[in-house]
Amino acid sequence: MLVTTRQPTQLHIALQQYATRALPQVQAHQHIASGQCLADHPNGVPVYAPRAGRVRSVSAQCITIDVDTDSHEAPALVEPHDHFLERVRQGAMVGLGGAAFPAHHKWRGTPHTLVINAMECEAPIHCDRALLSIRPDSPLRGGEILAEALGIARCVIAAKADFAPIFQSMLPRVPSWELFTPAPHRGIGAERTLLRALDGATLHGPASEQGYIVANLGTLDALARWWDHGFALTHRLVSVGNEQAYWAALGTPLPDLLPDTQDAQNTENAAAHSRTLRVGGLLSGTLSTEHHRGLQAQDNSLSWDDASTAPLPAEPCIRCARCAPVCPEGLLPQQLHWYQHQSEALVALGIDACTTCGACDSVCPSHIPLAAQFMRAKKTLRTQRSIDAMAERAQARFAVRNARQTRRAEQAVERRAQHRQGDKRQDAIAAALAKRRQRKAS
Amino acid sequence: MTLRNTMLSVVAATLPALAWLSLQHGWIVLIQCLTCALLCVAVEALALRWRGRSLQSVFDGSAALCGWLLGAALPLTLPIAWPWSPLWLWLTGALVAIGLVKQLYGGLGHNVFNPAMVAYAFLLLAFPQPMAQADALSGASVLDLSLQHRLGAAPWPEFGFDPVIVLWSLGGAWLWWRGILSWRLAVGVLASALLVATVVALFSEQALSPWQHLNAGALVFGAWFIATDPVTAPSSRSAQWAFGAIVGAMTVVIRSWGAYPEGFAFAIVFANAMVPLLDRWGLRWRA
Repeated sequence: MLVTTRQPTQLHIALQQYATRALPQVQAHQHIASGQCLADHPNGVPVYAPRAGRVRSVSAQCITIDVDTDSHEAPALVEPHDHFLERVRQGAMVGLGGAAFPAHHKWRGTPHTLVINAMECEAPIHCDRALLSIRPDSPLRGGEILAEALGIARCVIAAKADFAPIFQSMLPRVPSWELFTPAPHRGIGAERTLLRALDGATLHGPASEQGYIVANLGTLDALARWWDHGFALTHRLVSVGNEQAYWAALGTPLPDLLPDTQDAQNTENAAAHSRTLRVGGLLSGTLSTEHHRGLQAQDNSLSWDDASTAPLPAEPCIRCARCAPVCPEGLLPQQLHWYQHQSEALVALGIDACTTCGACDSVCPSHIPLAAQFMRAKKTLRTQRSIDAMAERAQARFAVRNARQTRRAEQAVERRAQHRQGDKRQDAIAAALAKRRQRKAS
Repeated sequence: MTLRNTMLSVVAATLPALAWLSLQHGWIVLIQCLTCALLCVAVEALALRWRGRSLQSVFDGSAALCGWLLGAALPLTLPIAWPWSPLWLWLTGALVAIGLVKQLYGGLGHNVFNPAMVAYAFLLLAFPQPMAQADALSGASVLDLSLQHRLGAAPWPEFGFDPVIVLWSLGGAWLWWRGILSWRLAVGVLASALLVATVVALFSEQALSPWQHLNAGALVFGAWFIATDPVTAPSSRSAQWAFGAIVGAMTVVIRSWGAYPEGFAFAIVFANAMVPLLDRWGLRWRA
């Protein structure tokens, strides 16, 4: 395992985060120090400069920095906060497993179990392997920090068989922790699947709501580095191809990380062969033809999508149901495939439980890209649901507005009536006064 | 494992039984299977051409397998007006199976009914005379005699063990071992048929015994090679058991009280129609 640090010359730091977009706090041409805060958002996490340099440009999506030649990684230039979750946010902690979900949202509540997810089960991702080869203690230290801060009694290291000996040797350091090595199964690294294998727990909704925290090794490593050394999350391990890994600054242009595109010649060749870049694993990853963006927190693996890994052409489904017994969630993939465009049927068949692990793809005799279809279907469903929710909210607002208008109209009528009544009283007073004046006069 | 490998494996699994039948009845057995398969492939090619689809899927083996199984199920029609009469029969069967039941419903994977069995039922209804020929490959003659016996027209048929059911079962078991078919479907059909046949035999003196049911007709062949067609069978476990139970029970019921000697094809078509419902229930039963 070769882990190299790359010195970038330019950084394209993306501001888009899981659910928000950080707001820039620097201007173009400004000189910035390593570890300086570049952008922040109250709902997201701060963005720090991985290196010192000069800001080339700032847009709503991206901050581009020309890096000083002699700059290096430095602790974040902030005063650590006392409150745990706020300090986690301050360190820009996001899940490095691939979703980059802000950790201070995920680590809320009163969890009873911390599961350290060292299941790395999707080729060609091997960041965890790389991390264990360079600093195996760090994730454990991160787990200790997290368990102590949140008062978690039970810590479980869920490690795949390859990693088990490494953790076994470190276990004396944390004697109360368990080492759990589940049977190798495709998709076992998915949170739901892993927790079922561990405790038989069936999750409905996020794991944190049921008292579990499932944390990736990289995330815990980042936590340990932030806590003990003050480094915010500005770097991550990214695996390249099958054997290489880089400790790279977020924002490093992807071509710098791809060994065979380092010189322009090869870049042109790559374009000529129209090879596509795969970011993430073979199944859950996405293909991208846009190579010239910066590395982001969720990019765990880069590889070329060669013709050799391209799937065979799909044939019709014969409902042979070979996909059903291999599904770790116990779904019926062939039924999901059949109803892929009918959201009601999909929900009834439990599509929400699908982790798109691709176990079904691997056994399908017709080579149907099932996981990709389910991912699309889930996305459509999510969009549909958010539209429905918006419509519902709009309807509720409309009902409230109608009620308000009716109430106002009624109140106006009442006020006018009262006003008239008031007039009558005034009349009565005036009449009485007139009467009295009349009596006085007579 | 590809689609074509799957289909060819099923064809291979029928070979021991068909070889045995060839020894008994001559080359006509294999000729019938081969001709039906070729006709089905030809019809498939034509249908795909008309539908403007790629002809690539002609070679996925599904049409050939359908024809092969149809050929194995049809009675041997050699004695009457060879070769025209059987050719007509086979061609009609292929047109119904591939043209009507498979391609009209949308091609491979989209057919609701088992093409070979609908074709068989169609031929049985449309051409009762050649289909009722003696020495039927599916052994329907015994069932025919049993029917006539029930109607009082014939003495009690004498027959016993037919070794071909062992060969069919061996072929099916090999497919199960290869992971190609679901044993629940086959075992469900056989168990349900035996159970219902036992009950019927307890209450009726004219009925065939469960053992005779097993050795007669298409029951064992159908349980292993027809009911297990994944396209037209349910896919969840409980639904597969239910499907098998319906097919087995219906077969015995039609054999015992129906107007046709063999009920397997009708039972399959009947159960095929229930598959979407069974699959939906299967999900609920599982939960």
